[in-house]
Amino acid sequence: MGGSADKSEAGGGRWELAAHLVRDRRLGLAMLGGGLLYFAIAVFGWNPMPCPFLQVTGKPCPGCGMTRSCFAFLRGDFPEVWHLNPFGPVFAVFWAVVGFGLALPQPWRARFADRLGRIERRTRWAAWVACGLAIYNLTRWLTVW
Amino acid sequence: MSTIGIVLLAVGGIGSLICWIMVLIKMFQNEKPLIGILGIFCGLWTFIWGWMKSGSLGLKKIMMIWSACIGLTIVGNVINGIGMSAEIQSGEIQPTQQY
Repeated sequence: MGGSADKSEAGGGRWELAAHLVRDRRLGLAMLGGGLLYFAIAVFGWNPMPCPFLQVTGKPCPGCGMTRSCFAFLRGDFPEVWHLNPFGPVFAVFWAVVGFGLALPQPWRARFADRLGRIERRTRWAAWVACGLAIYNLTRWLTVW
Repeated sequence: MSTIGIVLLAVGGIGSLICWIMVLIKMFQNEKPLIGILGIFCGLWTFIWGWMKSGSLGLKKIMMIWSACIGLTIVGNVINGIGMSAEIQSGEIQPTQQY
């Protein structure tokens, strides 16, 4: 009873990200939909939501360059991906997995979320990526890139 | 004209940054830490989350202010662009290739 919820909350739930967004379908769809809309608008070269951190401080936030990096990744321009934000492909794959999970009908969505949650709890990939992105962004502030 | 655009950009940018931080704090208080970290990486997802939880967490006022700040930023961008184009055309400033 409430297997998915029990598995997500039992101890390792804090390491889940994709599984959480697949389980909370409303939130997952809103975030995925918003991201896709932003992506579609950006295709026309317009940035509808400029980064407030960059505007005020002049320094990029960890997410700056992510959209353009995803474009470059889809084009196969890997030197450009590295130059803009090497974590762009990670987020592209992340949202593709979330999108796949959200598209599944029940009960496959719940099973997918459970399996995804197990993988996330074991690998703690999101925490590692977050640390890597923070370190990478520090190097950008130091203008190493 | 571009001065007005810059002022609007500055006000919108500072307002957006403050609202982003406020919603981010709520995100960390009410969601898993990794969702909060996702919000740090992209303000868009904080914005979406904020609107989704605006009713239950009393964020409606902040989200409306944030939306207005984004609107100000967009308007400031347009005005600044028009002003710069006019100044380039009149020869007051020279276009540069620096980015």
